Amino acid sequence: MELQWPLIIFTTLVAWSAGLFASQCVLAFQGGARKTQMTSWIVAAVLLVVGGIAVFLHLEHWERIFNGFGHLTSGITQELIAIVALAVVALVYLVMLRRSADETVPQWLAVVGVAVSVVLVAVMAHSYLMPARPAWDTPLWILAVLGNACILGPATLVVLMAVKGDLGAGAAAVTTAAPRAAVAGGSTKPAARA
Amino acid sequence: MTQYAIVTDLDRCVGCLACSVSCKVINGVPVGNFWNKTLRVGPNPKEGGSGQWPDVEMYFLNVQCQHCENPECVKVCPTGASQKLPDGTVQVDKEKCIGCQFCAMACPYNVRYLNEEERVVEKCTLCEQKISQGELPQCVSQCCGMARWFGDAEKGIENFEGPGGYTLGEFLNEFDDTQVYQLPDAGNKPSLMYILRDMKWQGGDQ
Ligand code: SF4
Ligand code: SF4
Ligand code: SF4
Repeated sequence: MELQWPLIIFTTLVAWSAGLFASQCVLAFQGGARKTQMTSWIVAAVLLVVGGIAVFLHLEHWERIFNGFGHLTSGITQELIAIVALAVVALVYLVMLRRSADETVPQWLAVVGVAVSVVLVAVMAHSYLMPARPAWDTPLWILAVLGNACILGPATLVVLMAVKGDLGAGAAAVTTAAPRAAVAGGSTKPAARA
Repeated sequence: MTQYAIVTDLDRCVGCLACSVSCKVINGVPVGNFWNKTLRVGPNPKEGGSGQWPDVEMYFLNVQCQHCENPECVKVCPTGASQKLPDGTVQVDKEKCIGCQFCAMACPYNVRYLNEEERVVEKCTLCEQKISQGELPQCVSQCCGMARWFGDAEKGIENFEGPGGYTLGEFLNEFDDTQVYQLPDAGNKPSLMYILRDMKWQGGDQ
């Protein structure tokens, strides 16, 4: 089988999008990166949409997805469910962000945002675990795609924060507090506030 | 339950490719694609031999959809286009297929491909159009070596039928259960079987 570029682009962009959204959620948990929250949300949304368009280009008869898509044992169906879940959480996030006077979202929403991003990336990677393809059939593949998300997401957020003049304390938040918060389940160190 | 299948006596197969070619003709398989490929396995050194000719052996292996008991292609199909039917065959409903090709990735034997014109995936149907009318699959009826036999695996392979009204049990040379092989199983449980008596099966341990 030749390289399926639409799938390669899709997996990369979705991991990137989920990584970026999760990173902004981590900072939002600490009330950080306030000037960048909206821009980051938009960039994550664009990445997800472009990834979605790429995967539609892969489908030879995308119009037939309305014929009976939804066989639950299929990794593609599971991916679609996870994407819809992420989209719903992201929309709630957007509404909360717009409504708040100081560009913050509730902490519970930030936690849900991280969780749904991790689940989406893991489910997406899992759909390629097939006994017929021994080279792919390893949990390391899930870790690899999660790794993509953990690098592309925070790196993009730092760039956006630099552009938005949100760095300084924010940079410390991304480079030090964010990974710690992700591991320890969150911390609200003053240094992490932007 | 019914599990239609094909048994091939590899000691009888002469590698004439009649099965591969007749399948393409009857099923309109596009140029460059195959529902059934006849592979040459070997020559390999005989075990315990000098390692040189004439201590070598070789057989032909016909690879097509194995109409698996637990088909991976069905599991990964998001639309239900790939299905296991009550007669045990695995079929693609081309009206439902979206061409995602996950089934082609998930099949351990690489027997599925995208039909570029129809933009859906296809593969061996076990000649559903023929067997549903009581006929033999084309690759069985056209086998000039009388190596291919068709029937319901649930009823025992002795009763499998071949050309000329013969049954496998009465026609073939003797063999025992340890001489009946299947392609390597990745959890999909292939249904097709291959008889190989005196040569070493190169398809891994059973
Ligand atoms: S051989 Fe491949 S295509 Fe045929 S049923 Fe098994 S997994 Fe599916
Ligand atoms: S290509 Fe068609 S048959 Fe194969 S998994 Fe996708 S929808 Fe199912
Ligand atoms: S059973 Fe029919 S479709 Fe399948 S390989 Fe033989 S001739 Fe082709």
